[in-house]
Amino acid sequence: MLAALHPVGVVAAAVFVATVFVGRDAMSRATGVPSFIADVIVALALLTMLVALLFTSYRVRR
Amino acid sequence: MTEALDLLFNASLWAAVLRIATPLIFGVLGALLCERAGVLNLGIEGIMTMGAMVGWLSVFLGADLWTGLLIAAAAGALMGLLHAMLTVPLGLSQHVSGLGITLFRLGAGLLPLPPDREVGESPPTIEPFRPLDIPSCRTFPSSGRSCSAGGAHLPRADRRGGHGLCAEPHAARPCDPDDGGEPARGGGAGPGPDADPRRLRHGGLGADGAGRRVPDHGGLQQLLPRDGAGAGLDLHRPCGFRILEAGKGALGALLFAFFDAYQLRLQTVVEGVPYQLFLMAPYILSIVALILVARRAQVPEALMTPYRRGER
Repeated sequence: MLAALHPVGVVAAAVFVATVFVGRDAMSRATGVPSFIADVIVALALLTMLVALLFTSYRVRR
Repeated sequence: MTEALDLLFNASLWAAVLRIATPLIFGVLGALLCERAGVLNLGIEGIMTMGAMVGWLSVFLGADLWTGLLIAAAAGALMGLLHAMLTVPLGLSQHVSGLGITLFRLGAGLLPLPPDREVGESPPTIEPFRPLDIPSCRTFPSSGRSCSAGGAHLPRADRRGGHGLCAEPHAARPCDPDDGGEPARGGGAGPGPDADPRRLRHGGLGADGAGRRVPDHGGLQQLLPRDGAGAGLDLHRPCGFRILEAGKGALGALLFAFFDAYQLRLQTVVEGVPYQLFLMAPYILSIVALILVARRAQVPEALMTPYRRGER
């Protein structure tokens, strides 16, 4: 869904999610922020993408 | 072999079945409401985690247990309405928004956990609900003494199980399949010709969230992700037994709870078998049961179909 069903986008989305997940433990140790925030970031990205796709189906009229 | 059969006559097994099945039954009730309203809710795990954490945190910060219970229900309802907002007025994909919200709730619900707890350190706890003393249960063989590995007492397990089982008929009533109506209109199963599908769906999701997991655990460790992982599938599985009949949903939950409790005890009497195989057993048996039953499953025609005013 993050990739909007595009094959190339899947690679970018996978790299994004992997980066967030791999970095969460180091981030948690370094900053004291709970590692669960990585899930929140990915989830918000997904929901944002979902709502953004909805808006692409509308056109702004003057 | 005889030891494995003896387990079936152990009161602790059946007490554990009720204890495991009760949160599943509450979850199944929520899923029933949602799916009858025409919305697939894959946000179950997240709602459970969020409700449990918010309720537990409220009590930990000074609220009494009943207030914590109400706060947990309110948090669940709020999360259900968030899902409703995405899927009903916006008409977004119910699968994707459900999964996204599950991920969000799992993460956000666990954010208050301290990030640097030492290994082996006891997590903070609250004083849970006390076992309810039911006079008629005093004659039960195991009454009054610990009857499970978790330390639950039979009266308590009965009380919690009773709540779930008593709630089932109430969930069955509002959406009786014989009520008539227009299933394809967008409201789900037989909402009646005057029902507003939008209000029905919002109500279903809100009530679903409110009825989710109650914070009856005293220990924070019971709220960790391990507890919620897979629970959403656990809940949709009993629903598969089938949607339009709450009683069968309850039976599905009890069946899964039985498999789960039984495999845990089998591990202690059967040697030489990897424990992973026992862990797989409830899932495999539930899938087999689903295969046998799901062919006759009935779902609302409007399930997973976005309702847009004027289209139907």
